[in-house]
Amino acid sequence: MAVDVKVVLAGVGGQGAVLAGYVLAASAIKEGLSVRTYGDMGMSRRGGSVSSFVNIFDKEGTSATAVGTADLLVGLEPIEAVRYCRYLKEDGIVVVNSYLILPSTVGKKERAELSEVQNLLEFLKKNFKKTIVFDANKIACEIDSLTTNVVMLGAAFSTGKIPVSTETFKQTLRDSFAPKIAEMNIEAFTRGYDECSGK
Amino acid sequence: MAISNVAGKPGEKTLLLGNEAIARGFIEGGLRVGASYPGTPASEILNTLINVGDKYGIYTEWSTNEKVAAEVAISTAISGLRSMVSMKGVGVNVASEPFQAFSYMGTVGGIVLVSADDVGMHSSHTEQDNRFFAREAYLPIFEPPGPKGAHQMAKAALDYSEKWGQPVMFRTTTRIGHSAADITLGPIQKTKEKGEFKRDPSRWVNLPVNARRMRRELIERMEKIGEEVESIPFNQIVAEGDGQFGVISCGVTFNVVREAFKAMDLGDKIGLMKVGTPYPLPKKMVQRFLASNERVLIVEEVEPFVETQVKSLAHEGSLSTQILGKEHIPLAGESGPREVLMGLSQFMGMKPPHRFERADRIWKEAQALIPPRPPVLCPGCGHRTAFFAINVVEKKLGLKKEGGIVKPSDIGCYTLGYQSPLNAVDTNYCMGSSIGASSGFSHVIDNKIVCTIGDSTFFHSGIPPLLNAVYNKADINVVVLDNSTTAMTGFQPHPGVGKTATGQDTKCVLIEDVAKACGADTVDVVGSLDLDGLVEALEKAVNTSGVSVVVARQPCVLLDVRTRLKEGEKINKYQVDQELCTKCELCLNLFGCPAFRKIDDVIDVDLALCNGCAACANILVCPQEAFKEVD
Repeated sequence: MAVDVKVVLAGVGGQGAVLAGYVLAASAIKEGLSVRTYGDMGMSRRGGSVSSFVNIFDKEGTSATAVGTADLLVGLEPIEAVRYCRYLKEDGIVVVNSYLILPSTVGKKERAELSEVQNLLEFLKKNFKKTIVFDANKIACEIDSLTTNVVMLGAAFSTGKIPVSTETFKQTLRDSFAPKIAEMNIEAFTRGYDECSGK
Repeated sequence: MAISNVAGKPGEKTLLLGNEAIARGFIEGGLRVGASYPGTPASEILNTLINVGDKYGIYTEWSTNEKVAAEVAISTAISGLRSMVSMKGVGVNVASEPFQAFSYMGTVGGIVLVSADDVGMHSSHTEQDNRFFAREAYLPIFEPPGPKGAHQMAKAALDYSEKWGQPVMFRTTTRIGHSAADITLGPIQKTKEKGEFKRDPSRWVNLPVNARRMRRELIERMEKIGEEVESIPFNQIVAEGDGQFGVISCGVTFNVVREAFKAMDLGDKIGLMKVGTPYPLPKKMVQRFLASNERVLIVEEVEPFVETQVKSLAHEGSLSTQILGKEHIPLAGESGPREVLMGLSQFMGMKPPHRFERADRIWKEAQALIPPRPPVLCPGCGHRTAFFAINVVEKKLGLKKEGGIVKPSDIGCYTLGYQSPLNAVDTNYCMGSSIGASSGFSHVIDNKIVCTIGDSTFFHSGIPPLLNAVYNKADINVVVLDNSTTAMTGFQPHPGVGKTATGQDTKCVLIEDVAKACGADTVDVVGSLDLDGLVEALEKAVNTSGVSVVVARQPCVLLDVRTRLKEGEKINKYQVDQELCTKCELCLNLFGCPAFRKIDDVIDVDLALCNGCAACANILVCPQEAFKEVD
């Protein structure tokens, strides 16, 4: 069967959306698939909005994703999930971390309005077939606060949308990082996967 | 261990970023020297060469600016070895002059000028299309369709440059440089260590008498190259079509066009020509393609560079083909799947297969729900404290009533002082412009002037304008925000760091010494996190006529915290004592550290983000002194 899966990761600079995208892409290569990714770099990293597009094919394709065509949105933060959800298909799946990070540039009024995370989550639920919400931050902080991105990838894999086996992904972590860091991330991945499978 | 393996064996398949793929292509092409000045989206090319250069005998350097980098690469090429000089698109403005002259001389070793144009302006201030610069300077252009093509083309560009005896431009874009793909590594050509400079003043000295001769030789050389590009594999008629419609696609749009053909179910009805050398164009191939199609659409990003040439070729060949381009393909921004699909549908008189209305509605509704999240200065960044101190001094000296301090700034992380709540950047033209702009203002307005410039930018192009300010009697205050690295682009060293690109110890040039040598009237050095010290130094500077320089120095907090954690040091974080907090929100509304947050009417610090700079403990940030060190 032809493989053509488009994943969008969205988060805040520093959360590791781009790095998570690379690890996902590297794992797809291990399965003999072709990949194209595009991640924000440079100026975006300073606490700004960051996205990473990972397109996985059996043949060749492009890194550019049109709005309304992605299969899976991995929202590392709810405001950013709402910002990038336009890329998702109507029958696409949203996996979103409920932990809110408010931009430091917002004024007093917006600060109060935005604290209502529920509005953001309702927006996602209203527009897409399936939205999986959980507090990835809480899980990550039990392991290491820097693992939010991989907890979220675990949740993304649990949807069954990613054409890579969890074993291959874990092996990619082992091949890419020092043993201690790899094991920490494998734990984060498994926790995210278990938390969301069946949801 | 890494996700990408740039130094892998031939035949190995690995995930490479476009810029890593370009670097690998150069390595495979026997590169001897790589020079650059950091700039997004080009930085990773030299970063990669630095990381693996030792293994392949490649000398790498971060030059002080793009012009110097160009000169370093040119001397390598003149000595018969292969070199590359990479820079962001706007960097080519700085490197322009040596390439203008060098193009006349022609080269001995292969030399590639990589222009990483920022189509979409992800992190640049113009969307300039440097293919026009290349055309003007007679540099043949190689423009790849994506990371895989870039890998092959980088090597080929070195080969062709050497074969033709002409420097060439490799034009990439942010989309290519920052895309990653599965790349199969190729064999590596070994470079010689030493070159040979064959003395020939009639060639290497660009006196008018030589240049007049060389210009004629250059024109002849380019005619020959024009013939050769007809048969190089990067230019190709991919599909003949049925003679009605055809597309000529250049660069990154090629794969997007192919996807659009698929989505529109066009099959082999439409003709397709791929252009890999937009200058010189394969003239005969273009004319052949035009002759066999009634209507042709040129698909390329930004300027109609190929389009205008194709129109001219149609005229020369008396061809009546209807040629369209920018009528259907946008001039501004990237031409992604949506733009190409819409443009192509219009061109063919078809309904687009994909409807974007739903996504547009979602985006409209989403925008009403969420605020923008621009990049901001990091928690604990010394630049924030310095900008805050400038604002404090403005208020304290009552200057706000007199129109306020005018605050020209420059290019780097600190341009983010533009964002609320600091709002401390009034102008920014280009690299190094803060000081020159300040001089200009000082002769024509009465406001006090305090400009900000980073350390790397100061070395790049801040020294001549500082000299100029002293020489021409400007009354300005220059704050050099010295975080001892080139932070925005990924922590590259510069002359003030004491390390070379490859980490070797070298002389550390102090900014205060340079400022004194330039003749500045006062020079003070203060720690960027010493808020009281900064306010004092700035007050003194503003009250002193002439050129005052304040060096605000604090290592980049990201690097500093990383080093300290590695050394086992504890970062002392700060939290709000809720007993003391009056919820006045001055901390949020004037200082705006991204670690501060207000949830359910409680102001506190997100300890995961706090980098322990302690600035918030100062009474200037919190009048209640509610920020306390966490035990």
